Amino acid sequence: MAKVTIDTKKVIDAVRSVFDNVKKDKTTQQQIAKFVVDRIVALARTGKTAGTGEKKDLPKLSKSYRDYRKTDRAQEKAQSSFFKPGSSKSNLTFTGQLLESISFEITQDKIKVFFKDTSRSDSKETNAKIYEYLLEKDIGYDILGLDDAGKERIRRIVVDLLRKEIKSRFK
Amino acid sequence: MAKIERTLDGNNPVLKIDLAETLGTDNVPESVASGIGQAIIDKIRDRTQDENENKNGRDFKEYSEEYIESTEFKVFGKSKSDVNLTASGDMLGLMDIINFDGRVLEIGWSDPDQAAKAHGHITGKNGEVPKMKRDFFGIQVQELEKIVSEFEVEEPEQEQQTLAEADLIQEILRDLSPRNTLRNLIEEDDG
Repeated sequence: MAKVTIDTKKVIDAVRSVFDNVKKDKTTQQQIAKFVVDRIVALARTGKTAGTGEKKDLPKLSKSYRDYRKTDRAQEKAQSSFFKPGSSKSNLTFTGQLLESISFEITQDKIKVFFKDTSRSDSKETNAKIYEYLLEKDIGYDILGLDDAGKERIRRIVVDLLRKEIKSRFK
Repeated sequence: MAKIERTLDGNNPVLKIDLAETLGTDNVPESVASGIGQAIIDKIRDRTQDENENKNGRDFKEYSEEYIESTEFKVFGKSKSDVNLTASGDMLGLMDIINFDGRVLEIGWSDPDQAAKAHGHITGKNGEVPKMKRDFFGIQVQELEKIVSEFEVEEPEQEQQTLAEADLIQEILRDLSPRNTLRNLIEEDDG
């Protein structure tokens, strides 16, 4: 019977080294960060949030605000192509500035996703402040998060890259 | 000889490939099964997203006017001329190897929402609501044979050594749970 000896230390050291390199790889970090931002924005534009880890609807709009959104004045101000005047549910989109201010920062081997402190055309407050205000209301506008499917997609990005790197090392 | 089967029970599509019969050996290493499985998944994804073709190599039916006018269509930047079954990307992105028992490799979805989406595309039904049938989920015999031809299982001692190491790597990769992979990658702001 053929004898097989595995140098487990060699294998584990190689995998660990690949994992450390992939974790620090700027291209991978940017790919993941962009994926997270795009996912949060797309989800919000379709009227949903995964801020608490589960996908659910954004809050319903009040009747008075819904009536306002249908007026000519509101439709003049609303510049986003995702603005839906007749919708009863929020999609955090009127001018589009709030969602467009979501950005990311990569520091060492961590990714931070946040609302930028940028100015707005329709308010003295910055986008970051507007979001803080929405969070304080605590009615379901916490949108900076991922559901399980989103987390699994990121895991796949990393594992696929690990597989490719390990495969090339063990050729 | 390639042996491919598909089940659609309970809104849960599963593609089953008998690798033992396909490769002509009872001893199919896990690393080989994983490589073949990933290659099949890549093939299905590329054919769907890049070539817009179903499992038989035919073009998908066009999107409906109603869907083209929808918010989702706009939000995900979709195009009328690119029928790719991709909005958020979750359905095709989360297609995975769900089981291998040493002989039969199974490809499908662990996430029931994505499995249900796929089932809807495959059958043209969403519960009782009819929708357009776009059956992307399958692989032709010649496609499988081409993939398998790159994974020959040989007996020499050196080959066994390489396969044993590859199997160990497979174990390690499988143990990369979402929590372990994401820890220290994504900072959660509690402030």
